[in-house]
Formats: sequence, C-alpha cells, structure tokens
Amino acid sequence: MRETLEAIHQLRADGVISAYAIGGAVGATFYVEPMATMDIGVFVSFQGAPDDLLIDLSPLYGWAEAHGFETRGEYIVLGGWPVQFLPPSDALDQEALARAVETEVEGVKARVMTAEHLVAIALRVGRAKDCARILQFIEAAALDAAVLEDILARHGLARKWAEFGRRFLEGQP
Amino acid sequence: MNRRMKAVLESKRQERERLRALPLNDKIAMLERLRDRALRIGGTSLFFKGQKSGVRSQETE
Repeated sequence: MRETLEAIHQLRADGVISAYAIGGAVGATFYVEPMATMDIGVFVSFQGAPDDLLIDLSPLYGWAEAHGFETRGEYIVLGGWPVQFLPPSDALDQEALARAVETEVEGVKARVMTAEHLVAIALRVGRAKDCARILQFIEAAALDAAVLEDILARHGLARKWAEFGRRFLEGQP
Repeated sequence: MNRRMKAVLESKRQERERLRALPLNDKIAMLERLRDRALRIGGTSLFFKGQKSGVRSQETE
C-alpha cells in the first residue's frame, strides 16, 4: 500500500491529478473490518477540468507508461494494487472527494472518504455487496447519523435510505 | 432462533469487532492477503479479461 500511495502522490506532484480520495472497499477498511477486494477505487479530480465535460483519462495512462507501471484494462497496477481512477460522476462524488480526510498508512499520508460519504455512495450504487457494506458501518457504529442524513437529503437519497431501512433494519435489535 | 444459532451469530459479531479494532496497518496487511487470494481465485480469468482499455466500469469495488 505504501508504494501505491507514493505513486498516487507522485501523480499529484506531477500535475496529472489535483486531488484524490480512496473509496470503495479499501476506503471502508479504514472504518470497519477488512473485506475481500481485488482493487482500489481512487476518485480523482483534474486541474482545470470543467465538471460538465467528458474527462480524458489518457494523461493518467501516459504517466503510467512513462513511469513503467503496468496497465490492465482501465486499471493501473501501483505497488501490487490494481488501481481504478474514477473522475467524480455527480455532486455526491465531488463532495466526497472534497471532504476526504487525511490519515496515514505505513508512514505515508492517505486521503480517504468519510464514513458517511462511503455509505451514501454505497447506497446510491445499491448492489448486494454495497448493502452488506452499509450494514457493516451500522454494526460498527462508525456513522454520525446527523451527518449522514444531511448528505442523503442533499443528494436525493433520503427515500432510498428509508427503503434500505425497511428492507434490512426493521425488526433488528 | 435457537440458542446454538444465537451463539454462532454472537461469536461472528465478536470476531468482526476484533477485526475492526485492529491497528490500521494490520488491517491493510490483511486486505493485501485477501486481495492476493481473490486475484488467485478469479483474477486472471474473471477480473481482467474482456475489459476494454480506457473503459471504466460503473462503480469500483
């Protein structure tokens, strides 16, 4: 993970990306128990990239090639981890990227999405494994309910949250 | 739910709690072992083949 993070920092230092935040299963591991995953999802923004245009990821792949990193499909393998770089797809992703928190892994700084943003994104995606992940956060008491409800309300996910509650939480102790 | 099943679920909950409480670096090391296992099981045939370069999937893991 150290080499992965160092490579991501190098991407930023070289001006290829401007900000990043770790999301997905690896991001969740900062708050709950580790879960099996094959890749790291890294949300990234690009300097001067307007929100409403398609973002060209070719500089990322060009950078990887120039620095001798292997690419596999949309993944760039950094420090043994297949990394998927994801430009924000909506306002929720943008907010999650902007409000990511800084922590440290193996002596290297890392920016990770907040627990509440990880849950909001998992709710939006809504696959079985995303639902399971949300339940992990709830069981771990890793969420600030007021913060989460505010995020869900602002991003149009309150109804989906209520449905999730009916489906998975009703009747639970 | 019978007593045996309750005990099983409780022990699982306790184990998840133990894993959650591990130092971050220990959790990352565990994550890397899980990744290696996942890649060995299905990585080469299911994960990377058939993906087009530059096309990202809808959401990440």
